[in-house]
Amino acid sequence: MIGIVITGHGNFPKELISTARKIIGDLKGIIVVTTRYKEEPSNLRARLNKAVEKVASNEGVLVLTDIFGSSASSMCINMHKKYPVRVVTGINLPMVFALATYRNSALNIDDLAFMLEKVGKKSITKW
Amino acid sequence: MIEKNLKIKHKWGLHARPAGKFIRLAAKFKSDVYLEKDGEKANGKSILEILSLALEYGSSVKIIASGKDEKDALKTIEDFLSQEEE
Amino acid sequence: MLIKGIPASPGIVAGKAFVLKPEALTIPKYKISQKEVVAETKRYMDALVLTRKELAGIQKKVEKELGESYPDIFAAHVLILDDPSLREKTVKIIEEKNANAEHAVAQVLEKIGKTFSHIEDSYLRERAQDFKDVGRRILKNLLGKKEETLTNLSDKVIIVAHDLAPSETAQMDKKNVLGFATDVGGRTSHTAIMARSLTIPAVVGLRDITQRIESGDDIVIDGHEGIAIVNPPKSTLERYLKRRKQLAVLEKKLDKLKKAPAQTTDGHRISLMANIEMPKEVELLERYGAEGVGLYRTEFFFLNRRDIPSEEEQFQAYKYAAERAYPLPVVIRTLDLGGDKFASVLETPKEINPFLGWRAIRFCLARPDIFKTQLRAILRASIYGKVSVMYPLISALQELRQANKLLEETKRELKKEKKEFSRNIKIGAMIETPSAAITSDLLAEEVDFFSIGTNDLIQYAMAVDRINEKIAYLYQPASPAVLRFIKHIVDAGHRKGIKTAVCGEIAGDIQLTLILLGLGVDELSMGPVAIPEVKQIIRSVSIEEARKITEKALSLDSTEKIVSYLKSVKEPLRLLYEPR
Repeated sequence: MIGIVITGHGNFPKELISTARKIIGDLKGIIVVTTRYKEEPSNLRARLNKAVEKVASNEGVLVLTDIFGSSASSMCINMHKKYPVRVVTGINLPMVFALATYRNSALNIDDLAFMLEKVGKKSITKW
Repeated sequence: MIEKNLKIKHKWGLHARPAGKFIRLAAKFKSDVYLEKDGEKANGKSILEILSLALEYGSSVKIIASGKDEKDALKTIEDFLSQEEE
Repeated sequence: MLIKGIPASPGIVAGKAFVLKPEALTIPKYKISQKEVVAETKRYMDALVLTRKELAGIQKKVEKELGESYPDIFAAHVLILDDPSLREKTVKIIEEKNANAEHAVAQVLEKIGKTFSHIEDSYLRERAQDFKDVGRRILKNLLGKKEETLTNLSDKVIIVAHDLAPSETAQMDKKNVLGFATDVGGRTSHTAIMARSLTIPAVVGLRDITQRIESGDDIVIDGHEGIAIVNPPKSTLERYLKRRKQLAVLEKKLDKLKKAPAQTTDGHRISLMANIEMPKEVELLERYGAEGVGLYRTEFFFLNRRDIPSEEEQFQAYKYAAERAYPLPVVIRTLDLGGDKFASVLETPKEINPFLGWRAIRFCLARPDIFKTQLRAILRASIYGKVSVMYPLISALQELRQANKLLEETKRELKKEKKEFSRNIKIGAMIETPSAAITSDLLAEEVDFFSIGTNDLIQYAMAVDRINEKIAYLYQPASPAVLRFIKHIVDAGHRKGIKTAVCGEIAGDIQLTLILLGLGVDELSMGPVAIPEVKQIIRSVSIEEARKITEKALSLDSTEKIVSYLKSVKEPLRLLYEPR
């Protein structure tokens, strides 16, 4: 099972997941890492590391973050582990729904990241 | 982003087997990796694009790496392409 | 309808044909709405995932069956499957052209075909086929089609196909496969190797049999003669079935001979060895009662690839063979390929006469880098068993000396590197050119043994290209010229105290066993399947009889007379076919 870590500014990741859960039911095996304003980088890094290691398997860990370029995103992008670690930024609610569906298919971590990026982008439309 | 020009030293060129090795090597890096020959750019992580470049022994190629670990990536690829054989 | 091909695996079988034809896939093309793009992309991804699973399964099966050293084409296919650029291109078409996944994949494949057709290098150009193969799998999975596999055969059948790839045979329902018949291929193609390892008959190179037969038709294949007969008339069928029964009886009898020595009734011994192409074939030594490997053809390694196998790769293969065969000996022949094989890389012009050209030992002496890599591998492997080395196509003493010099150099280098090897490794020369034959007295001084490569010797001696249909009839093993050549070589060897083997096709030809015996040949090396029959013949005569027969044959002045004389000496042969 691919490990999932969701992180972002403040309580955003926590609210995102709990909202998703209210709509589609329980989402198992996801670790949420909320962040605090002006947190010590080394502290954040340690927390992210711990979260990633908690859900890791040799299929890897997919980290979903809110903004590309944030400290959390950069830290995860540069993680070097024995298993693959992939990051998809700009997480939105449709992506979380897709995650729930796709996790049960046999997609590997690159496939999953690819699909979530697609879903995320496709869900942005203009009227 | 950093670049380097060099000539392929592999005795048999970058045919199927070393091309495969190359791809696996490039995949290890987070940076984007490209090989450019005669103005044509190929994604270093795509076996299709690398094979299509048809890199023979002696071809001149430019390595382009861009990303946090670009220095490492460039060095590793340079070493690989400068080997005479597997 | 009788079709002639190339014998690939001995035996006769009759049965229903199962024709494996690549299914023509109809690629649907339709528009999808923007809303459906994600779902369609997912559908494509699911097909990729399925294909990935398929390849992993096949890879495992092939590895299990044929060992790890078998060329791994699947590694390339896996890379193609995961190629990010391919994925991007396909999904882009789905998104931007609102196309269904099948159409998108087909488009990408077409583009790839075009791109590759512009590549000059022929080896790389052929890689396009790998992309097509993977693409086809993905399409099949998208269309929800089951692979037309051989996994579930409801009846016992003879598989007829254009060619058989490891991926197909790995999944085969083996107990229901009676034999193979293919359009293309040769003795060393995968079909042949698979058939021999399963000990079922096979005929390859039948050109267009897949066009001339349907699944369910009756077919008879004769793996000895290389013949396939489609919908044979009853009389023909009966004839083949009778012969098949005879062969089965014979086989049972011969199996008892496994442990018996190849010895004439009056105690004269001759060694019966096996010719092999791949290390795994060493397992056949025990099965057929071979006394060792008289010829390990190393070319198989070098085929189907652009580069040359590394020293380590070769070492592992030779070591495996030496170890598994031990305590039986293994004679490894150095590279006997044409320079034309390497022409594209070395940019040498195409030869007009590759047969008389830059190949075998001449090529190796001109490319000591390639030659020494092989010698190093052979020397290093020599400590793991009883290994001897043999040079092909020696045409003059000078060549032999040069080769030996390089061998000595290699030994010195290994010594310096503190790598172990067998100091007194035996060295042999293949005598297959008329010049070598006539100067065999000189060559005998500087080798430990001879091995007569009759396939080439006959062609050079009679100036015949046996593939040329117009003159192939001139290729006559049982001709006065050939017999005298062999006698000359054997005698020259004996005078200098060395043994001579025969490792060409005639070694396994039971029509000629008595003559070879009578000529004083010390060893016969053949395809292992032929060993029991040859042994039976040897065990049913005395050396005196054999010598008398040979003397008489040598006195005859034409092939026809020799052949009919040999046919008349059928007593020992008759014994083979009488049910007793």
